[in-house]
Amino acid sequence: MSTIKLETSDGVKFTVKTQVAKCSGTIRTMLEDIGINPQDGEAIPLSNVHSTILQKILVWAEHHVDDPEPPREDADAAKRTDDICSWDEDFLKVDQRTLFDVMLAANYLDMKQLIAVCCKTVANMIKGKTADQIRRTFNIENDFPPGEEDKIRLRNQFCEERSR
Amino acid sequence: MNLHIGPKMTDSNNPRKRPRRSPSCSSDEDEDSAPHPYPPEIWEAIFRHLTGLQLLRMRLVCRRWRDIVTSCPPLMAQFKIVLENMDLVDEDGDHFDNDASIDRNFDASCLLPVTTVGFRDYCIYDAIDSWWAWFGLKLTHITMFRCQLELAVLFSMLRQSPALRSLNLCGTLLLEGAELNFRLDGVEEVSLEHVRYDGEGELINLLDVLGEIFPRLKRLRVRAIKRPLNVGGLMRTVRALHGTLEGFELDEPGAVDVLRDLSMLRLRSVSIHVGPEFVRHSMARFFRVQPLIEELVVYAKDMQNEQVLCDIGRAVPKLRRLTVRDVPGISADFLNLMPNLEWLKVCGAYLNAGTVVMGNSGNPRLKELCIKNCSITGFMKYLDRSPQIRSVVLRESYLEDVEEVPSEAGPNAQLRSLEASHCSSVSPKMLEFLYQHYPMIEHVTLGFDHLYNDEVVLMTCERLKYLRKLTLECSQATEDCFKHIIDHGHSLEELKMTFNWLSDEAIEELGSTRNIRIINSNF
Repeated sequence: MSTIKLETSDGVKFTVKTQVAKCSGTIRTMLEDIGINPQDGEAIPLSNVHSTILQKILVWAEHHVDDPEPPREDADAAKRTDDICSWDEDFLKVDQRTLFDVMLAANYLDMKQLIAVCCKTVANMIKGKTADQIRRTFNIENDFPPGEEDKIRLRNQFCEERSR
Repeated sequence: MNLHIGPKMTDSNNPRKRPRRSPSCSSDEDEDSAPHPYPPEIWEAIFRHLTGLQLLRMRLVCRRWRDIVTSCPPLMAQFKIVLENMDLVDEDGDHFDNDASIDRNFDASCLLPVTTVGFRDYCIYDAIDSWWAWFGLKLTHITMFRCQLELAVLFSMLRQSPALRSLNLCGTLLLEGAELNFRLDGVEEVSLEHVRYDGEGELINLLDVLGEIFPRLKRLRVRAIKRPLNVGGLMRTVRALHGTLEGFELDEPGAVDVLRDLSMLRLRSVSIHVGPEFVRHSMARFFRVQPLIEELVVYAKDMQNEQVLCDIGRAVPKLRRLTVRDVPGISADFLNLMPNLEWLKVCGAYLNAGTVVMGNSGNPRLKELCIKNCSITGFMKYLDRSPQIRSVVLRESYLEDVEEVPSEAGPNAQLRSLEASHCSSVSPKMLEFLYQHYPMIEHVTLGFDHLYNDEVVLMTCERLKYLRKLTLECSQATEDCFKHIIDHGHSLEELKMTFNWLSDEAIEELGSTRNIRIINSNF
């Protein structure tokens, strides 16, 4: 089975099954389009990903390597956030910092399914919460000048959800 | 503010005291101290998994989130602005409350720059130009329902809405004339329904100049125009629009005869009257000349028998959307000849309910069903045979055999939206059955029946785990139902109660306990 080497931002080298590495659209493009030859033994630099995060992402990719191509989701299906498989749910039971780092790395590596499942996890942390509760959850400071929040609240009153 | 332009609405969070920032760090460029340095694309991707109602409240969290939502067109596209005057009573729209107007004094700073706006029950005056100049800029859809304005004001608003694609006037009174000095090439869709004119002297009939104002119109809908309709002029407009027109609906029997001669039109949608003079073989020829048709509006008042609907099914196998208006008594077997139907609306005549026997019919691809002013037999079995159904609307209708317990089939996860208004046959027991059978319903509208009380709210919240919106119109429910919502309505995002008196204390308590948007209007 063919393998390739990946080098993270902190200089750690990983030897990875090519098939698993190709879960990343970015790596796939490098191998297939740009023609980087994995046989050369030279590591592909992933300058935006730390080794701890890559380690984690490779565990995910290994588990999902044989997943069929997902169907194109319509906008409505994307709103569902309760369809995270239990393996992914456990996988993403990490601190917030790690969750976002995984998401950022997945974004850099172009791993759409992993991004989606991370987004849904964060969306679930948001749903049903008041603005104050959300601020506490994500450690966000309320930086509105006095009165601005009420103004937004007023503006929201005249908005409705658009039906499809 | 509320008194002037809208119903009483309460977003759940009460404004509360919070630490003030010093003015020096309140500028919009100050991002360094942001505690969440993730790029906006990440938040955009996350926000795409939220519903419009959830998204709206994300704007309250911090300036950065507010700006992310506001500057992302796909997110903003989930909102529309609805300016609804709730003080009106008169159904005809003739007697407007003096205060119910939109003019230069209207506080437009409360409007988000969205692409869709709706006006309901307002007089609109000329001096809106001051704010419409910026507000109209982004608009793609304008709807006016039971409004009143001068034609010149409408023209002025349109002229300042260069991105407009769709205009919908319903029950609206247009006054006086206007000078025609503009055109909007982007408008694709115009619908005029129950539009009336009033004025002296030279009066431009909007219908006569449609082709000039909207030279690239794709869909035109004209219904229930009270002023004598100049069909000849309208058909000239249709002829002039032949390069773009794809859909044409007119509730005049003669229309299809003219369309028949216009073989250069490539229609996707059309209305037909199936009266005694309706000749079947010429209809077949019409459908042969117009092979793209996938949507029909059938005026069935003078229909002799439903055989003609069967013929239509055979002649238009691609039919996706069907409206049958003024339906008399029919058997719905014709639906089986329309296997591609996705959207069905059946309306009885006003004060003369139609009767529909569903028989063995079913539509495997049907997504939306609306039944108005009808008495239906075999409704539940029809639903069972239409497993893709996502939305059911029942208004002023009666289900004859509600006792039948259908479906050996298991629960269906497709249905998202259910409305029952003025439908005394949709009893709490039947609702309970529907909820069991369709557990994924997200939006329930119940109204105008004494059966819908606090217990029904409790049952609705208990059964429907995914309930996001609950609308109760003129129901027997009281503010006592709030405790059921707090205990069981865990997914609820919006509660709308009209014709109900609710105390401010109760609203406030619900709002501070749960993140629910509460809309309460009393007439």
